[in-house]
Amino acid sequence: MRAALFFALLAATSSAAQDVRVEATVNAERIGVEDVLELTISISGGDAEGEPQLPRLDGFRVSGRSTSSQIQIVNGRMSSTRSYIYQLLPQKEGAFEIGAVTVQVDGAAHTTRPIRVEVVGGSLAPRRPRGLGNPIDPFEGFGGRARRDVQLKEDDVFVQTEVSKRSVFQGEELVVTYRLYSRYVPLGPEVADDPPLTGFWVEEVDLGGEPKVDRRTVEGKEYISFPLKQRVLFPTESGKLEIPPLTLSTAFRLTSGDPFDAFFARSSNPITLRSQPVTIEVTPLPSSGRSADFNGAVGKFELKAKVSQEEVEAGNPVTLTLSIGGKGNLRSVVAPDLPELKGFRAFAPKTDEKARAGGSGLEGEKSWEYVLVPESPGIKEVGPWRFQYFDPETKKYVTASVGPLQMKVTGSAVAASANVGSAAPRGEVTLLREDIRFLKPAPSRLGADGRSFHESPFFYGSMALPVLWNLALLVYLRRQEKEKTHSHLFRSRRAHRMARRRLKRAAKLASEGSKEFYEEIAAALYRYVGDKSATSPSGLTSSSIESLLAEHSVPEESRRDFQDVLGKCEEARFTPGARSREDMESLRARTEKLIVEVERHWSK
Amino acid sequence: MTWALFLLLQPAFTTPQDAFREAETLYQQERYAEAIEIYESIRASGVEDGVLYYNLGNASFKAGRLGFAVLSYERARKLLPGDEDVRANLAFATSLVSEGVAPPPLPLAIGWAVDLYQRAVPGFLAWAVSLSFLVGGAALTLLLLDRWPKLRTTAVAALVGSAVVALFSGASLVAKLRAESIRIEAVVVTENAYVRSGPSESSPRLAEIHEGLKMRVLGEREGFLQISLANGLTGWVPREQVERI
Repeated sequence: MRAALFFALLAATSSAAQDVRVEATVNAERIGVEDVLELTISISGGDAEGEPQLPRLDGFRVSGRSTSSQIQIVNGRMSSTRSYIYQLLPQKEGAFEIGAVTVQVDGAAHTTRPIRVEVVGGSLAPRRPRGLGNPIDPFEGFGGRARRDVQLKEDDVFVQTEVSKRSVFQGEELVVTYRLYSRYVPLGPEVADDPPLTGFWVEEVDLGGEPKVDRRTVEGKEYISFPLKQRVLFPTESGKLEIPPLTLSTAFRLTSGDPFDAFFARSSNPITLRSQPVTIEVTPLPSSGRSADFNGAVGKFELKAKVSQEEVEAGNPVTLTLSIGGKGNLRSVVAPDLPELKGFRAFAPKTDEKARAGGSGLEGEKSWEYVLVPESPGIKEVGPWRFQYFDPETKKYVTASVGPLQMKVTGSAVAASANVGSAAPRGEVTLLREDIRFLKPAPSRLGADGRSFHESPFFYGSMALPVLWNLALLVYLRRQEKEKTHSHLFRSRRAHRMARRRLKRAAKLASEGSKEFYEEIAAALYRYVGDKSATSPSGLTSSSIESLLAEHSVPEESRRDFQDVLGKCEEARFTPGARSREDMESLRARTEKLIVEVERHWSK
Repeated sequence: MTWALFLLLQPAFTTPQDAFREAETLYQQERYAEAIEIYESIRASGVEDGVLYYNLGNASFKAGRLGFAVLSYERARKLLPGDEDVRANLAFATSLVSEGVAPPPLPLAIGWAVDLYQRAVPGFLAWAVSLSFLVGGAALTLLLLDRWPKLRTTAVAALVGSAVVALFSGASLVAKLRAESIRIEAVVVTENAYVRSGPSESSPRLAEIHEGLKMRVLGEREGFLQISLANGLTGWVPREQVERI
């Protein structure tokens, strides 16, 4: 129990540590004092904070430093490696240890393992011209003995492109392996040129950190062999397709003929190797036996379908999982059509893909999870589904089918939602270009926008009119106001004039001998008193006249005279019989004199 | 009358609608120069029409004559100040005239007032003045008579309101009529033009301006116009390189 926990923890930490790797390597563990030791600190899976911290180096002096970065994408996973390369100059002979190097990566300190290096006298590194040790002479390069430079023969080291098949159908997988064969121990092989593969869909095979090294015998010679790169290819075109050569750059450990003898290890200068191009014959897929819903799947596949529950209440969701698994061009496999599901609401599927490219090809499974909500009770069927693929082994189209699946829906019907999944949202408005707006048609009257209201006389009239009427109103109001305040005085002043006017008319009536003469005389007197006292003449009586005259200090004599004239007028108006002109004329003269008298005495 | 004159010049067309349709066909066939000819011949007969200027502006724009396009759209806007098509095309054409002499953006309220001013036709302004005089006059009469004390506040409000309207629309009207009569704005119609410090070819160059740029005309002398750009730069340009709106 305890041990299990411990291993679980160990696994957890080691898997975390696997993401970040810090390694220290040297180009040779045994060098001459005249040689240069290259110490490489490589950091992968994280970003180093600052430079690696080199420990105190006994017996070496740092002469230079360079860096290199490499980014690799394998099976869709990206990994980056950053290397710091230090040139170390040995100072003396002896055995030395390069201590642990500490690097801060993503907040954590990582240390490398110490490396032991033996420094011997002289130089072990090959000098120009570049060459290799003689594979025949096991003592070549040993100690201070003279070295012979041997040309590398063509079959000593080569890169071979191995393909699983040379003739395939379009879409059929084939595995290509670039393999290095060498009679010497290669040091740090690096792919120098890897041209793109046109006409193929490529899946890289992850070969893992350490290549699997084999011993192989080719034509009687023994080689070290390991894969450099492995890929699963799917031709997307038919015809003759070429896999271009891969270029490799590698150095070799200089040893005797025994490739596993690491005792005299030295490094050669790097050399460049190139594989041979390989031509693949791609046949198009036959047309006979192909159904309309064939989507280009080539390989061996299995179609599966299942529901999460076989009994469900209406309105509750059920998961329907369709999956296609097997070997072949799985990436191009699309979901089988979901037939129209009556009595279900279906939601867009969740797609999952698990595929792994390996030495035998691409294998895996694709699955689609649909959420179905039954709307009414009863025994419901979903499916069947069909999936057609081409089997390159039997060279025939195979149709896999599954279903229908049965489901028992309990409970009562739920209201169907109007349009689930029928109207999918469309894309946003895409502005393609900007342009001016289009022409306008001709107006019914061309140039009709011409004469505007401001040019018409009505415009000026409409402005002048309110001003004019308000001015007129103002003048009128002012006059009225004036008259109101001065009317008393005005009437009083006018009284004498008005009376005289009446008397003149009376004189005319007298010459005609008309009896209306008396009426005119009475009216003249009444009016005169009314005007003088600012009262209405119709409300006056002979007694009120008497008191008014007295009020305004008219003498006694004139008042009596006034009453006498009024009395004469009354008498003449109401008694029959003509009056002589002379009588009339004398009364008029008397009245005139009387008014002058009253006017003179009238006090305000 | 003017149309009759046009008929004499263009015997092929019987109505302006025919001429417009013909020009539209040419326009759609991308024969813009010929479309321009038709519109210009209608204009030459003395017709002053907003739609005509708008279409002429479109054809000029498509023919690549940005200066004439801006000029025609500006003229169309004078006659159809509220027309959205005219405003949109003028804005689009002006957006291609990148001279970097844009005046600083106006505060919102002033920008709104300027927009209102630009959209108003003189006729509309005249109606506004006229109505505000009548309403104001009636309000004043009510106040003078002083018979109905309840109407006093309403009358005062109406009087003040109409006075404000009359003042603003009257001022706008006067400004518009003045700008129209002296044609205060001009547009560059040649590809390039130089603003010089004086009214002669020997005066030093102050700025290089390009087709479609709008400017204010301040004066005229010896074949040169004194202009001021939106950024305040004042100088002289040859009269034949710009066209008054």
